[in-house]
Amino acid sequence: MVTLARIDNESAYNCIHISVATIAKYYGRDYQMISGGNWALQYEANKERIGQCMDVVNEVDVCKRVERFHGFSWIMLPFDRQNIDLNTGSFHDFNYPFLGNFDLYYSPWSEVYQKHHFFHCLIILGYDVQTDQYTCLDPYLKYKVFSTSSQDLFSGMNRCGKVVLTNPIQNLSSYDYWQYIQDDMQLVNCNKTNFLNIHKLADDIENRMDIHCEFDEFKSDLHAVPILDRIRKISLSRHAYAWMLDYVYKVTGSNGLDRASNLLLDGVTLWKIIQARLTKQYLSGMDDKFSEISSMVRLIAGIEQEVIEILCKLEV
Amino acid sequence: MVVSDVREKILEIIKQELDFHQIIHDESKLEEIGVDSIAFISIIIAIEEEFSIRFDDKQIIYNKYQTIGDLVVAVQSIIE
Repeated sequence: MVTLARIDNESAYNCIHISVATIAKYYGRDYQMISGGNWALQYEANKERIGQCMDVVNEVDVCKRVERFHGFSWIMLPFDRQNIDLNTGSFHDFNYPFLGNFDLYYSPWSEVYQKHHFFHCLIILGYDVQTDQYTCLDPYLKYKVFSTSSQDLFSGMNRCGKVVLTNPIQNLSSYDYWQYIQDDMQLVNCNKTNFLNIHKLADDIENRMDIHCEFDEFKSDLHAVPILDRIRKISLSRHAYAWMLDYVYKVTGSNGLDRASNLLLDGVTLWKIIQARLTKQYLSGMDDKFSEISSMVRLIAGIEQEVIEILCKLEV
Repeated sequence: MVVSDVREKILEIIKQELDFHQIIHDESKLEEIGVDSIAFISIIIAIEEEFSIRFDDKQIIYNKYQTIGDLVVAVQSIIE
């Protein structure tokens, strides 16, 4: 059975990126540029719940980036039981460790089995023919290792993936990194999208926030509350980008990257405070001041705009 | 209030909130005993009520704490 080491700053990554990065590390590759792209907050203020108005959608193909900077890529293919050797349990074309993508609603080994449709990625480490048990590693859940039968594994599995090693481009310069960061800022700061959308969120929290509308339907599993789930996603996108900037700073030494990274991390702390305060208000039933949370959101808008301005003015 | 009393009360609160019956101690990792981000906030609320204290904003972030001991230290610092 393969043994995989933990990556650095693991709490900054979503389940796909942490799984891919863990396998990349196993193959001796860096992985930090996986967090590039668009982290602008998208906001459509026409939904009943504020949590459903906000999102982060990264349309950038980060596979190409990691191939260029780190010498690997990854592919995900639809899961087909016919691609499994029934005698050995091995997946054709997939050597261990490989990626598995699941709908946890259909996954008996998951805590949200038959509760919520969460899509989740983890790593398959191996299979024991004698016991019919696959061993899996869930890097997103603090690298939890667990075993499950083939039937239970397959019931929620919808995609399989593998990390493919390529040749990294040699002699990358500071300009190569700079160029990608500028591309990202074009997306994040297009018409000041991020700044203005965060202000729209702040306005809605101040003017129309109804904690029961946001939470009540999900009382049995508060992790599924849209506003908490989206803040977690927003916070992760910034957290990962901050560590990417820190990595680029260490590689290139470009002035300003360290400051931008630290500021973005300050913003992440505020996003987490907001998430905790909303949860606390709902569970305690006590009145919180939405104007305070709204002010905190506006503070984040200012911090993130400063980050954008630093990065736009970066010199090579 | 002495540290051992604070610790005992916190352990009691955690066990109650999690409906947890095994032995836990300062070194017990929150995640390993089943304290997730939501359960953590429930525990914070119960601790605030028990000790008549208020955590400040940065102290209610779940991943600032690894172990029960970290929580005991935070509560002790607020009480003092």
